[in-house]
Amino acid sequence: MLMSSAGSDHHPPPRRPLRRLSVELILIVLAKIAFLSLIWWIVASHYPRPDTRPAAIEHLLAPSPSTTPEAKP
Amino acid sequence: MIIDSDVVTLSRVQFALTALYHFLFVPLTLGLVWMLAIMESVYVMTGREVWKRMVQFWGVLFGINFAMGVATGITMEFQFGMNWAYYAHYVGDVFGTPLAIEGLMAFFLEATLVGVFFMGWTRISRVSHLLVTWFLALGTNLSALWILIANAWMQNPVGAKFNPQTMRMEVTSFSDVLFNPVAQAKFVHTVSAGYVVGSMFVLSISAWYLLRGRNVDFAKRSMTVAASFGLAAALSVVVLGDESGYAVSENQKMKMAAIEAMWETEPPPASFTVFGIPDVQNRTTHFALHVPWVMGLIGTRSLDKPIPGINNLVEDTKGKIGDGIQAYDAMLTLRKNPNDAQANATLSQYDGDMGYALLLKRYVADPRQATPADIQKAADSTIPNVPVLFWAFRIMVACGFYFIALFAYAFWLASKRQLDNKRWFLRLALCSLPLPWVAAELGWVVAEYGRQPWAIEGILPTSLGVSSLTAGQVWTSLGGFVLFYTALAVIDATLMAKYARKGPDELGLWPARDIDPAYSTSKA
Repeated sequence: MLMSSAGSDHHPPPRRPLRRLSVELILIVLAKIAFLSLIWWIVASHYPRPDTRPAAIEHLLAPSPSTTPEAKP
Repeated sequence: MIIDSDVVTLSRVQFALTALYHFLFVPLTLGLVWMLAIMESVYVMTGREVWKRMVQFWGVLFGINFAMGVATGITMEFQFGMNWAYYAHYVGDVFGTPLAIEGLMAFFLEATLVGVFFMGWTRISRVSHLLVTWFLALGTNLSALWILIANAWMQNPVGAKFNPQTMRMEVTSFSDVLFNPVAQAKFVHTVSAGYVVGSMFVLSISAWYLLRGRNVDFAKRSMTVAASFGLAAALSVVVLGDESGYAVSENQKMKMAAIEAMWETEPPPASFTVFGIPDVQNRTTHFALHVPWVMGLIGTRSLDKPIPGINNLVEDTKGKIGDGIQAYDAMLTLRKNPNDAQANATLSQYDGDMGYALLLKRYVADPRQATPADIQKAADSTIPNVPVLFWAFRIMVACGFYFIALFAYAFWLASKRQLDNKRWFLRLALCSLPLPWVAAELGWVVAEYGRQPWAIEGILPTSLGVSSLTAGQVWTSLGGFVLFYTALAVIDATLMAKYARKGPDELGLWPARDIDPAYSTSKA
């Protein structure tokens, strides 16, 4: 049993209580991008790219004196 | 040890944690967006304001989930380059395409439509906004399709062939990759699990309003939608899960045997083990409670096809390792002389098994020098973690049947207009809130942990895909992710709880007079 509701389709439009939430969410997304970039910068940015030339992959799969990768990090 | 097992283990742990974390957000987005589309469709058809307010309120929670989930998926894509560089190189030609399409879908289509969804209420017509919501739902699900096509290729690598000159897998048939039967089964099973998550989210929070006597009419309507959509989704997830299980039994026999803790091949049709305690050391299952025929019927859809047991599969693997060594030797010959006809013929004959020779790399530098003991160890390494798979699968399935019962009862109560009369049911619905997430995460544990030791089933062992990093570097990034994601999880839970607790009344989306007087009186 209800005091009102189902039939009461006419009520004032919502205020704008969500403006603060919108700003918070945008700041959270920006903070996420910044922190993820920071993790990448600390861990990976200074590191040489892995050597993926076919010869280097061959070395990875079957090391032999004839195939010495030059820039394997 | 040939390969730095610490780096492999840490990289796996990092990927698993970030993937499981990402999938906290994905299923809610997948499910909730359809509920928004359904509610808005009712609003456009009936013109009743309450349905618009429902879309707007649940849209707020959808928006929080969406914003908190943003960038948790891209983390995984970056890990392919940072932690799994050799994997990315070896299969990038195949794996990269669906991943790139998924990125375009997720970032451009979804993000644009999300913006119009939130900003468009007063800027575009009702019908146009409804179209935006429906396209948002379709776009969200399509982006899931592409990532699942990529993942399915890891489970069942079709439409690609190894090129010894480039030392990588290359696409031979994109349509085979696209219409991979594992991808189709995985897609429908995964999205329907997301629909269950979305339905439970709405059902549980609405149940809380009814228990508090707030937003009563609003909550009952929301629960009705959740019960209907949730019942259809829960039934679908079980039926489509059966299809997914059939695909596993066809393509990943070791995973299926491990899920069942089936050590020996049983005479068909195999029984289903409802309960048991798998003993990995002795390769047996203690206190096993079997239901005859069920596994054979589910796994093979026949009465006469056997489901191979783990021990038999290990013996088969030893043969594949032998064939793989021949392919491996031919591959190295072709590296020196691409025109060697004999080596070409040998590689063509056995290239499907070359990955099995690569399993030996954990034990010997050159697989051609492997001893029978090395081959036995490599074959044994193809057994995934049986107890984890056994229990993860059973808990997931039990949750699936529980969801059917819960949503069926909710649907029955909704049809009788008695949703607010059964307080025990409302409490049960509220307490069930985390369960769909538990089931969904366990589903991924079964899918991914069950694929080990493979990154690409039968093609590339996980240990060979890892980057040449140091354990210290992976510890640093792992620590960073754990700290950062923990903080994000706390913020997410706080925001969700805050706005769910506020409800449509305190957010100004619904009149505060929509209360249950009986509740108010009793509390007074």
